[in-house]
Amino acid sequence: MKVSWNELRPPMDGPAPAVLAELRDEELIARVQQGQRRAYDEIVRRYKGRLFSFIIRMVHDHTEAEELTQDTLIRAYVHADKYREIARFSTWIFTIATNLVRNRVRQRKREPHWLVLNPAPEDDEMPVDPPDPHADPSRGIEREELGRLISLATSRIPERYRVPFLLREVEQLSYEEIQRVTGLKLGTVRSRINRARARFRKNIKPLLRNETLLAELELIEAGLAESDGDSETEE
Amino acid sequence: MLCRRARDWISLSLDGMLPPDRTVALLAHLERCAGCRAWREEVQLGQRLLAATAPRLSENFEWRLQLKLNQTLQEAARAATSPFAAPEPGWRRWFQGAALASVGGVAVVVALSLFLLPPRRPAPTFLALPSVPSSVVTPADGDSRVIAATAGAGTGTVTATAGDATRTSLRPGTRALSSAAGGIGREVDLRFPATPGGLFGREGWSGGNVDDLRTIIHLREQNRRLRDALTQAQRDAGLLRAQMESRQTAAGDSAATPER
Repeated sequence: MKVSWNELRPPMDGPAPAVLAELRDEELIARVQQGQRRAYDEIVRRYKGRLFSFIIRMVHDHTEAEELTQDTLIRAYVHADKYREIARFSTWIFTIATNLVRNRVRQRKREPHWLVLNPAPEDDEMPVDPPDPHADPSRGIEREELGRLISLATSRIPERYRVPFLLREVEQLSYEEIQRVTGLKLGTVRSRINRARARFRKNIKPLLRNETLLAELELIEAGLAESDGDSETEE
Repeated sequence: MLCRRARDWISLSLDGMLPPDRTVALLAHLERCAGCRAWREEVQLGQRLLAATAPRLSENFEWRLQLKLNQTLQEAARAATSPFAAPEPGWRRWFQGAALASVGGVAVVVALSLFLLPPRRPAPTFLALPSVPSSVVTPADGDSRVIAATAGAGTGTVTATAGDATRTSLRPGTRALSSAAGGIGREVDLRFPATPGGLFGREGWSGGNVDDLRTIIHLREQNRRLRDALTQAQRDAGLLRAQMESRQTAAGDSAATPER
């Protein structure tokens, strides 16, 4: 039996989702502070993907990344009253996420490594091995492989460079926002982003010569542009 | 211009952070230097690759978020209504922590000294059988455990057998007995029971199932009520604290006022 979400949704407080979609993040969190649950739903809708794509590139574990994304969103809800509009909401929520990720990484370092099968090479500058270009895997597998290789290339950037790099490249935060999230000086943010870009370029260099994967990249980008066009038409 | 500096500037120009005068100088360098042009293209391709391979969340993410939020709010409400929830000054918390740590440390030292230091008491006389080369003592209560005590003349070795386990102690007496009786030598299974894969296992939300949707709605409604209850409890606790403080201040003032 097919039932739509809206049929089952009980009447909730606050304005309709279409109205909320036009509000700024700061206006939404102000409504959450007033107890409007729908405003929180809108924040979750806007930030769950962004937070997840940042966190998974830091922890490299799908389950753990989802847990940390949930923890970040829950903290934003429970401590919503602590948010003051002196900083942008995105800065505030990414600060929460960065702190949670750092704690988790620190915990991991303290945990003993009982068994390591096929350990990764110590040298983090070693380039990623590209797949065989003569192989003929299906497109889904190629896409998965491309994702895996990019994830591997990201994981080989040292953590201190990776945080500002991902906040810039994935989340498109400004240098000033990254400065606030990480607590670093502006000059340090700049140099770390630059160094991380150089490392990442070095790590993905073998991929850049692989025409199959580059063709796959173009297909993915075409698909993304198409879905963006569809969503704009719907709106 | 050095290529190293040019690459720093490329990074800044990609983020729109390079001042106009430097942008002109950079463009002039890029016209001449094929290496830096390639560098810029590769960095841009890296950006495209990162954007195109954004990972996706599980289908049941929102459902699990609701559940976790529910649990967190319940815990927070419980903590807010607890009589011990009143905030304490930082130095007092630190002092309490330090006191607890020192008490714990002393307890650990005492426990270790009890278990690790050699016992000073002499061996019980009923185990010392120098005249008999070997003897088997069967418990009178018919227990399945059989304690075989073999006291070699002058060696003082006692072997205690409890069920399948056999241990040898160099000192006859309490240790062997306690081993046999299931004391310090008892085999204890310290493994935790298998952790279930969350409240709903790894399968999660099947998607489109009416019952699942109803559960989510129910949880959302429950979360809303919990949030209200939490806010109310926090407000009540704050009021109570303020009342107590004002009473204490009033009592302090009356005590400080000299009698006429």
